[in-house]
Amino acid sequence: MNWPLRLLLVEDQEDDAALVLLELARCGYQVMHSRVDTRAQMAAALTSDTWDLVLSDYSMPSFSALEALAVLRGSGLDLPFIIVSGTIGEETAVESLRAGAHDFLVKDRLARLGTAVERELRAARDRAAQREEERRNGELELARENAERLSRFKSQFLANMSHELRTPLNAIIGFSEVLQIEAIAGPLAERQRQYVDHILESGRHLLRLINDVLDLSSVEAGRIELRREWMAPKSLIDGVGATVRPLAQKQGIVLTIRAATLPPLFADPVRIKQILYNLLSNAIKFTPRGGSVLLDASTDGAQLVVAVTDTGVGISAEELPRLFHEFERIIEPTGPRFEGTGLGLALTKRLVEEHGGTVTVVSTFGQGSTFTVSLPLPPPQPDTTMEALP
Amino acid sequence: MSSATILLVEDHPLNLALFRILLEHTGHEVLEATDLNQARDHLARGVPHLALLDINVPGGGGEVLLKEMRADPRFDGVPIVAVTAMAMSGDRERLLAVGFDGYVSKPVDTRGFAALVERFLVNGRNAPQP
Repeated sequence: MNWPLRLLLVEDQEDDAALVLLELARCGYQVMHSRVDTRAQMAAALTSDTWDLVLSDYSMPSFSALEALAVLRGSGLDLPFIIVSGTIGEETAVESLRAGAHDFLVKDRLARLGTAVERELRAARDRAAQREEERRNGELELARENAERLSRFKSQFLANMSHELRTPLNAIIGFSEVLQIEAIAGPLAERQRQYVDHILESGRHLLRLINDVLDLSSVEAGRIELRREWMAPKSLIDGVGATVRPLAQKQGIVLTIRAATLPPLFADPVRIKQILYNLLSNAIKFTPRGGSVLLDASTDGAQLVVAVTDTGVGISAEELPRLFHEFERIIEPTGPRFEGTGLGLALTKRLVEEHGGTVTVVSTFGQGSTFTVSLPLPPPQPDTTMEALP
Repeated sequence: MSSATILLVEDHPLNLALFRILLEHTGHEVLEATDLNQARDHLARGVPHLALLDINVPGGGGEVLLKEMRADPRFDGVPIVAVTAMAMSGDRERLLAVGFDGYVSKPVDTRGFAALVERFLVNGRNAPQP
């Protein structure tokens, strides 16, 4: 047994010191020690070196255990402090334990030293471990508070920004619409009408961008609460189809909605509509005149699978991985320019994932793409009506 | 409704002008206020058929005026609608919960705005929400 022990020995008698060292060596400690017998020496030793243990005589010509304890306290160190002294009264022993000494030994009975040292070293290690744990918990708590403060700050910032952007946008969009009301603004020449259209279109685009950014940051902050309810996917799909049909007709694109009878879905209808609208309007946007867009909804019993296939521009293999990233707009320098916020697909993916589903894409550059959304269906519940379900 | 008196509280001058133009275009009389004290002056002189309140207005905000009007039996039958740029998720529900009869977010769609005003003028406080 050879346990290294860095010992600070507060003792004026060299003989007594030697006895203590001998006893410790007998117990298996490999002692490195320094002997001090004044306040100044002890303070210097505590500052200049690292110690495992202090053993102190009770009374010395120019120092004492009580003074040594005061020096140790002043240093802020938590070292085991054991008094090794000649016979002293019980009162004195109690007083020194109150002052912070961990144990008290009489020089004639040094055989107890080994166990006392071992016990106090272990107690000191436990105290250090506990302090470390408290420090770590404190740090964790602080980090958690900081994260919460940041999140609150971010929400407040977004709310303020949303308010400040919407206020002037109200005047931009509103007055543009007023300009189109002949009874209010008077007749417009064809070119003026066209310019007002441009202002309106840009204003509405800006509004979509604001809505998408706020939506996306809400999803990221985990603040989107899905309002799930039992819904019939087919009527919802038909509804979204009716919404985008004029857009397809305007672009000369054949839109086909193929939805068989589908089992009920437990989901947030507003968000499901948003997902389908994003996929369909994207497909229409990126498909040239004369092309076609097909939405096919089916089920395998475990999930609802909605595939939106277009004959559009497609996505090249190297661009596919970036497709669902925020603000990633795949732009061909030579190709046509497409309006968009660059947030639609990122948002779509998040919303699908919030529902526990997945969205995948297969695409051939120049030939078209298929986006497939899979949403888990609840397990079939025998003998229940829709109203009776949770 | 043919011609109604509408209290319009809005501190942004261009938005105030826009809403006034839209309301006057449909034949209504508009009582304009850009802060709560002007609104209180109008309310001291008479009872409007409808109140359109911005939320962030000087003098305490639209919610303060809502509480004052709801505490005064003279305005028991007057629909009070929040017209606001506060449009984060939850704002609509919160404002309806504190007692607004309707909620419109800015930027408004002018056709929808006109339709909502008529709906409240015809049906009073129980007008269905779109």
